[in-house]
Amino acid sequence: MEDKIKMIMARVFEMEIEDFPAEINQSTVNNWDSLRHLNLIIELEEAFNKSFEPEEIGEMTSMEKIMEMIKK
Amino acid sequence: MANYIYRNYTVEYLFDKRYVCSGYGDVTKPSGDFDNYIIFYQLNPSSTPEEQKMEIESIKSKISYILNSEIRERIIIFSLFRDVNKDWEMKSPELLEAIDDFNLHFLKQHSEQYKNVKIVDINTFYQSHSIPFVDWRFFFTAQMVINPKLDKPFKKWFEKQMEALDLKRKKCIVLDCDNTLWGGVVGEEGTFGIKLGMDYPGNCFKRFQHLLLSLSKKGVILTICSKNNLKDVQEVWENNPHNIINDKVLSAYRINWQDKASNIKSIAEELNIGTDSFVFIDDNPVERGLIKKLLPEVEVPDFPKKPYELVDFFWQIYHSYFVIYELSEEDLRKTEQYKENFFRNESKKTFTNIDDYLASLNIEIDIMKANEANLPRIAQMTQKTNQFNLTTKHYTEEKLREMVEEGADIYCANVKDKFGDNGITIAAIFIENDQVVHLDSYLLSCRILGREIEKVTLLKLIEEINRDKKKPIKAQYVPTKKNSMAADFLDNIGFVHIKTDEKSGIKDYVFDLNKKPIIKTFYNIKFI
Repeated sequence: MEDKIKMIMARVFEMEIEDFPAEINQSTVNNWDSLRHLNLIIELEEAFNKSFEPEEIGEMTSMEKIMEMIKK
Repeated sequence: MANYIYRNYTVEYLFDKRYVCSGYGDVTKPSGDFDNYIIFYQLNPSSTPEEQKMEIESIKSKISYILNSEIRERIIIFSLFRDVNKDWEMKSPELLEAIDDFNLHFLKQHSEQYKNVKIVDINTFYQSHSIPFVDWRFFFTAQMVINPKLDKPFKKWFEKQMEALDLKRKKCIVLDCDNTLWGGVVGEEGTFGIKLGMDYPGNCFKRFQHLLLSLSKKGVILTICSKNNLKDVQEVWENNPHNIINDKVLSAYRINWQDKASNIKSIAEELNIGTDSFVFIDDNPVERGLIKKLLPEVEVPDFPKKPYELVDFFWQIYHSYFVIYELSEEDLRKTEQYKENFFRNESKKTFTNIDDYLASLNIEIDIMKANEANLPRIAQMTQKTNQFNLTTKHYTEEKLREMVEEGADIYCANVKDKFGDNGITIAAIFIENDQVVHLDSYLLSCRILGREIEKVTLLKLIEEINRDKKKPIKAQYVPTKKNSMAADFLDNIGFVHIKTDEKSGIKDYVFDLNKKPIIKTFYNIKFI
């Protein structure tokens, strides 16, 4: 799942997968702005067939949190 | 190319990087040069009808302000989403009326007053989508008034709108006949047996033809490319009153058994337009696949599975390839011009006799004995070829291999000409016994018919068998529902008809050994 999320992130953030830091969150990834955050959420919803609540969307600002919400 | 978007809600996700967005509701003229200015205002769907009516007034004054700021480049204004569910009264739905007034009158007035103003109707985009226009989660968290899940279709749709504004449209539709312009196969069901008329499913095809005819009156060129006997189709044109797409409205047609890629190229040459302005419509996925592969610049939409989907299909094609902002006189005259051109070129190209024409094709026929590489293809042909097939015997690959081991002479042939390689399209099976050689099977794929290839190939094979075996060669024609096109074939190439079985209709023949088969010299036939 993490790899799949990374691939989606790479597309949304326009980055190479190799260039992601070990710890992925909104403060360590430069291109992760608020607009791309929503793009990411929409892509994740489609890829994992989920629908996140606004509160969840606000919290999903790290790889860890994203995986937690998808598994929920 | 850079474009600027005036907006009052979040729309960034609907456009790519070539578009720069204003601040929310900011109407000041941006610094920097832009090719297009887009005014994309929508209503707050969570407001009361009264509030939304007020918002319409404020949008109107914003637009007037922008139009007065002396922008000379193109300005594209979006209509308002026609929300039909936000009114108190059924009798006079005030909000809906205000939206319609904005879309139909306010925008029209301004596009007539300012020549650089064009209107794009958001409602044509949303019409065909089943997911909600608004996703409230994203409206309340990010001010998105259009569901972000619609972003990809929106981008595609908007690109088409821009192409239409730039007057980029395709020019020509290439149509198949059987199961495209009518239901069924005219070669099998006849002029009046095809499904075209007042009852289902004929009425669907009839409506489809009417829509196509109206489209041709809007300047789109109609052509036909069909694998059929020209005579069969012409009979439909002349005698079936329900058929209205005929030689009077077609700018060109190719009705023959050649491959469609060469035919389309030759239509493009005749009409003097590039194949990149073609849209190819054919129910047969194999033909579509071939065109996609050989002519990737041609648009090849999927054909609907059911006749009742044809009306939607037509409009989908229209909006994808032919939609236009405004029709010019020129568009309306075009069809006529192309038609004249076609007939000029056609007469220029006429060969005085069929041999000159055939000679010009550089036909090459390579005959091979069955081997492991071609056995699967030969088996497949015996299974699938029903029209030009003397005996219609179906064989599996395993059975064919067994027959070869028992001494049968199995051949296949590859046919190509200057338009392309048709691949292995002929198969023949000879079985020898003490006294005679039987032609057990002889079949050709329809796509190579019409060039006398069927005759010369069999004559060449007979020559070979004769030299080898020196025995009479017998053959049969076994009639089926589908192989009538091969009924007189053996008579025509020098076989002598011995008898016809009254019950089964099976005709027996023997080849006249004294007859030296004459094979025209322009066919390049070799055994490899």
